[in-house]
Amino acid sequence: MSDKSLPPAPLGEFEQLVLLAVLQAGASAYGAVIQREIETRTGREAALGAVYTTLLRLEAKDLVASRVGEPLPERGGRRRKYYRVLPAGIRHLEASLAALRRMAAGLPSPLELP
Amino acid sequence: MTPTPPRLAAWLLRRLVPAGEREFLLGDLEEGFDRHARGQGSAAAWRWYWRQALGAALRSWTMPDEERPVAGASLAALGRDLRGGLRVIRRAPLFATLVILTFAIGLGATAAIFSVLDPVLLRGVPYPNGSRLLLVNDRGVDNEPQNIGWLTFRDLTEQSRTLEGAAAVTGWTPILGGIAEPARLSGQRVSHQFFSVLGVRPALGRDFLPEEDHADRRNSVVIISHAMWQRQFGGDSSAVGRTLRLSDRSVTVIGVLPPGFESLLAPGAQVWAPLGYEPGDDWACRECRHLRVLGLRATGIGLPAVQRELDAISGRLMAANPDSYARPGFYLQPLDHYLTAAVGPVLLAIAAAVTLLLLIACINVANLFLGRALARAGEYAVRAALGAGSGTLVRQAVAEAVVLALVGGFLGAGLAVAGVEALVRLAPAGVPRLDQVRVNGVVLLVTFLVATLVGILAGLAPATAAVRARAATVLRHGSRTIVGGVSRRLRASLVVVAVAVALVLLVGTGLLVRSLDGLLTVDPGFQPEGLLSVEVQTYGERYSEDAAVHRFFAEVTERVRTLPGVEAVAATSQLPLSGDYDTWGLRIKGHERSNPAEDPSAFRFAVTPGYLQAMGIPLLRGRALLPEDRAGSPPVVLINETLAQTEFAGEDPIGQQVQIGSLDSPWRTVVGVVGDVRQQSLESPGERQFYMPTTQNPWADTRLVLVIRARGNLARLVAPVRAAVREVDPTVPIATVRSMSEHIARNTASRVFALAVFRVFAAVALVLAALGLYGVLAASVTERRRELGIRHALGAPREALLGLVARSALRLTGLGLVLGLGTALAGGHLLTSLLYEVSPTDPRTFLGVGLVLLAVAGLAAAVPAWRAVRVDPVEALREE
Repeated sequence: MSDKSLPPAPLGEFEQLVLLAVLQAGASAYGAVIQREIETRTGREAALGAVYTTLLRLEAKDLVASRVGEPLPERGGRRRKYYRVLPAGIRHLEASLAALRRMAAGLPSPLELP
Repeated sequence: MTPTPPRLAAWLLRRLVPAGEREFLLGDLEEGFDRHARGQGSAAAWRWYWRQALGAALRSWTMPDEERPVAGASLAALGRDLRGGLRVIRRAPLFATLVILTFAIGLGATAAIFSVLDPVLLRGVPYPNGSRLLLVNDRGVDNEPQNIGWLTFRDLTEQSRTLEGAAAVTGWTPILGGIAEPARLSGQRVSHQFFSVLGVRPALGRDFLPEEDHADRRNSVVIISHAMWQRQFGGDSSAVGRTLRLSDRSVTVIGVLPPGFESLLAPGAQVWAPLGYEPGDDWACRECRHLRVLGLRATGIGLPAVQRELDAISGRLMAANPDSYARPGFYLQPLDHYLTAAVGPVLLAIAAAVTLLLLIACINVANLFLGRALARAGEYAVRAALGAGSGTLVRQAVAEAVVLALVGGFLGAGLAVAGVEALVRLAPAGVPRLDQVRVNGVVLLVTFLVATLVGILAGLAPATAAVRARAATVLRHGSRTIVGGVSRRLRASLVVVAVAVALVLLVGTGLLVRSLDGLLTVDPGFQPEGLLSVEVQTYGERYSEDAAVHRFFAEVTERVRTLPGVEAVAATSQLPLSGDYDTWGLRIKGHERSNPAEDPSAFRFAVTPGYLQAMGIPLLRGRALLPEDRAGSPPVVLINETLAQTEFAGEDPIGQQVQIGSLDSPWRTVVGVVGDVRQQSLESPGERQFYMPTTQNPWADTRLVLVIRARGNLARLVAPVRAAVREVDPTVPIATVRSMSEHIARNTASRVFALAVFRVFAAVALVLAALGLYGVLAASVTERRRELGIRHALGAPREALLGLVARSALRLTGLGLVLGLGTALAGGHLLTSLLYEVSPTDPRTFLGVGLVLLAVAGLAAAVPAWRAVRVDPVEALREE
């Protein structure tokens, strides 16, 4: 990690969730799977529209890359768009998670009022 | 069957999601749908899909450009601003909904009304020669327009040079035979020039020839309408030259008119035959005034020149025939004026009402935008301070207005379509060209532009004010001060105007309600309840003898009398309030005028015995007509009260001698006086009327209306009555069957129509005005929270705080009331022709409407007042 580059702009919470979901889903990370990863792991319903907007934004920032798959009958002959996280994405995620860990360091787990 | 995702939601997505992402998003949603359907059932999956789809659609629609992938960034700045405008719906849903609804109601109503007005009032006469057509009338004793006798028409056409041509027209109702059930047609007998005067040529075949306009050939040829050609001949081009069976005679079709041709003097007419009058005919005399005459002004000749020449002709005719004319000169009316005269007042009053509605809608939109601008003054100032160009701010304000106007406009267009359908359905009979009424695109566009402009102006003012004001000042003094001062006063004035407009509409509605109530309680002079009217027309060779006609009607009457439920039955040559019109001149022995043309005229009723009883017309003096009053017995007549009072003032009319019609007709003895009946309309009292036995008329009326008084459901009587007529003669058609209440409803239709429109408009105006008032008061309470809080803390009693709000409410409403009352007093005469025995300045209406408006204003003020009283001083002071 080079110190010459500016520190990466902090990721939004939903951006972190999406990036982590892409990593969790591995090779088959496409919209519906990413959405399901977020839903099952956080326990809250995620809007597919929000997932898409976020993925587009992450792609524009060169944090993720996408490739288009083959048409599939179970999707009415439509194709999937698969995402993978790019090195810059990993760096951003690391920075965000590190910040969170540092913030939580020394606090009891589970958290309690001092 | 496996469940499938909601199609509408998917369609919506296909429309709204950018092409780049559409396929993947839809695919993912479908997978998600299947997963939810398997896990939670199809209903849950369905709900999930809709939720996701709407979220995604809204998101992608309103996504700012900087967040879009590069492909979308090429969209024009306009698109960005419009999307920004759309975001307002998400950010301020109440504001957006109110603006959109106001736009929709204002635009929809305006577009609907003017779509109706355009073809009916504004488009002119639909003939090539339309603008040059005139109705030429004789003048009556009071200079009123009268129909013309044939000899006068003949002289006019021979002598006039300023008229390029003229045509005489009269009604004609032939019976179409040769089919299972003979039907009465609506048609016209016309002089041979009729179609060429209109400038209309038959689409098939030819026009009438001059030699066909004579007695020997008047029953041999007809021209038919396009619709009749379709119906009778299936649109076969060989129809010309074929024959129709009309009133027992074979006539040859010589022409078919173009589709869409309508005879404005006889809407619904389907057949035309030559008039065929000859100088010696009994019905061709100068006094036989039953022809409508259409004149065609020569090109380049003005109406005054025509009037001068025709008056000169009239002078010559009068000098030669002094006994035939009451007043000199002809009465000229441009055809388009004549056609719109009857419906014009109703439609113009409605147009005025809708203009007021549009005004109040615009006021409210302006008010809403100002209110929103007020709330956003701080935001504008901050953005201006941060360097947002004035162009950007103004553009965004405009975009918001345009987007809301667009959405409102679409809803309004839908409303207009529904509104036009409703108007056409409700419209009173006799509105010309109603079939041509369509939602008018130009009208829609114009009203839409007007409303958008209002939105733009209202959104613009505060934005520019914020830009111009020194941002620092705005920021230092809190959000509302700078922009607020101007806008607040503007809003208050707008509310005053809105209240005034609402008051004007309410006054109009109130006056119409009182007129209609008054009219519906008018005594028509007979008892319309439980009365059925059945129009029957004999025709043909079999009824060429008068005795046969009398026998037919006597037999039908006897058969109907025995039907169950029937209490009384009789027949009359004309029925009150049905549009029938038959006036005759009459002379009274000892009161003859020196010029017979100045003799009074009166409505003639040829009736069978028992007519008074069947109709419920009171006999005031003397006796009724009896079966003994028949052909051969001494001629008798009944007169009505008005005729008795105007012609026999101070004398006993019973036993007096009266002559009806021509100077050589027999003298009749007045045997009774009966009550007045409203013949032409419920509004027209004091018509002169007389009754004679059908059998004592110089000829038999072949068309009579049976009046049947019966117990119970009149509709159930229709079939037996039809059967009774068929039993007497199966070839005689029944033209119309209508209850007397239906005739009355048709008679008051235009009033009911106008009232319905006014009611709706006034209600909407009232709601809009109340909303405006509420908005201003609520905003003022919010702004003055601090002040109210301090007052409260300093011990001001609740009543004082309440009084503050009440006073501003009263001030705004009071000013509006004064302005509105002034306008209503000044503009009330516009309604005069629709009012019945109510003055346009009726104090009771004004008082009642004022009270209603005050009550509504009180309601609108109640919530803000309640909030003012409940201001918590501590919180209010802590706020800023």
